[in-house]
Amino acid sequence: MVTVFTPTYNRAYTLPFLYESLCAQTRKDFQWVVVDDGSNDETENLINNWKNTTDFEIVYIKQPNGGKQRAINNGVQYAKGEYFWIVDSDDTVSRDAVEKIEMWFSALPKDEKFAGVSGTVGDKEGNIIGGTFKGEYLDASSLERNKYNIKGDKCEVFYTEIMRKFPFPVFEGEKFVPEALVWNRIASAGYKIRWYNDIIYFACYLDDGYTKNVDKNLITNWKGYSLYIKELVRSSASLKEKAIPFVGYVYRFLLKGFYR
Amino acid sequence: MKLSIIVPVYNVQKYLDECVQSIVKQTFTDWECILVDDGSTDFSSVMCDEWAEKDSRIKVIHKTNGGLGSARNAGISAAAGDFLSFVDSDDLVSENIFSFLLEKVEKNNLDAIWCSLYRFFNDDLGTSSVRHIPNILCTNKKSVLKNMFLQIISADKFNTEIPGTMCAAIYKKSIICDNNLLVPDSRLTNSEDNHFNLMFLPLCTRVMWVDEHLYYYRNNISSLSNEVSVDKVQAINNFACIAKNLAEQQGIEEKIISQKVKFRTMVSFSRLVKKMADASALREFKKNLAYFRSELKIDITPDISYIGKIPMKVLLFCFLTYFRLYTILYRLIRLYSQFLYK
Repeated sequence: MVTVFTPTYNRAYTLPFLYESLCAQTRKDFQWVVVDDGSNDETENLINNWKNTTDFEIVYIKQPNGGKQRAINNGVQYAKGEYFWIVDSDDTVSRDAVEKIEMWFSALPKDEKFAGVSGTVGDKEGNIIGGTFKGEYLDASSLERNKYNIKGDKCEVFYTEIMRKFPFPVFEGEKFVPEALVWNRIASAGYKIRWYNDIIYFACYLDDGYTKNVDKNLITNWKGYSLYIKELVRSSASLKEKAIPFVGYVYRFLLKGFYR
Repeated sequence: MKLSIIVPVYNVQKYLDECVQSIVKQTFTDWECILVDDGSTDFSSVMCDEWAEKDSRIKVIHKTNGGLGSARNAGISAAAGDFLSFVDSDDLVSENIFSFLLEKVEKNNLDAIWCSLYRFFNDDLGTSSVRHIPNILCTNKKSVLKNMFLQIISADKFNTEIPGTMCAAIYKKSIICDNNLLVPDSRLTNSEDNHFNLMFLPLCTRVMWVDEHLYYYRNNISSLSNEVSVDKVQAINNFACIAKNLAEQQGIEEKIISQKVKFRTMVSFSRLVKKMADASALREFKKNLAYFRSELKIDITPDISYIGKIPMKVLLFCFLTYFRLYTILYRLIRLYSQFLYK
């Protein structure tokens, strides 16, 4: 079973769209776990209203505001499914997403080290956001994927067991840790992901989101960011893949000096 | 639930038939279409009357020329529907636009809804570009102000477009009429759509933006919006002033208002600068830019903290303008334009 996991903070204004896309799923046997990171808008009421009206189980947990990484660690504990999929509160998913994910997992060879599968992010017109490759699927670790032109944001779905084995590091006073830090750790431990070209995820980049405020985010959550860069530099990724993020790190270090 | 579709018409004989045709082909049928002939001097007037004869749901108003705003207002006054929708006479709509939007309106008890548009050039639908708007459902006034109103002011256009037009939308008529809202004159700000929506939104509690492409917006290469003159700077100033006033009325913090207005001004001004560079020689460019800059009433001093909040290109243009590095700016724009058209 797939556990669709959504960490959310004051996104009552976008959640209805994600909810609708989950209601429209061709397979209803999944679970939606929502961890509310201390919202003070109508999120709680909204989700409670949806709880008993759906074919799928909705689990709602409220936590004191602590950031996405704490929310994920929290949510993993409540996941009943064997597969764990992080879907952001301002995005939506394709109607056949759960169906495809189940199919992809059952096709994974049991004797090889796979951490999970991944579809691709795109828009409803069929345009893929980020890089793509030829063929139906490709097996590679998160550290290798750039080599195969699997670039940009993807939507990885992991075995819940793996998520439990690799929790997000948590720093006092910090509310953000780049997800790639954990994905890279999984890759360094020898796990591959099976990447598919099918669009199952429709992304949106809102004003108050992480992507728009990348620099500010990284600067104010410096320990997490530094750890990510340190581990990346020590990893088996190619020199080019280390160089660019490192330059970014130096740039933000300088920016940090100017930031008020 | 009846819908009034208002179409301002002015000298569009070339595109009018296609437009009305796309309205007539709607799957949703409970509508009236009001063609407002704003004193056309070509065959448009006659074509409007012909359409009214062909389809009883189509009505015509002939008036003396008063501009887009006055045409829309005339349409609003004559409208009998519970909901209004505006279609520009050179655009096209998909055949399910109204059934789709009205279904959402009914299901969610909305005061207004916007969808996204395809933009295409002149006559070639094949050149349609797709820009996405965020999917947002606001269910109280505070949310409308925070998630829609402010975004329209700053006209943020990173990866997503902000729907600030009066087209590709449905408005609840009672909100407009009970509050005596008038569509402003387009000649004052060039952003009369945004201006109207900034007046309208604070009166709503339930509004949706949905990312479905149902409207085809025709970009005319030769249109007025591509001219470069100091009037444009005036328009930018006027809009900034209007946006500030409207935002203050809503009790939004002054600091936030200033920043949003500043971002928008930086983006608008950069766009103007680019058009100027594309259209003139270096000497003329420098002279005009200095003049336009002195006429601009909003401060566009760039700041490091804006990185990530506005496109780099805009920051760079403002930076170079601020430090009067006009020659470098000019060369950069020309280089960039060349590079783009390779």
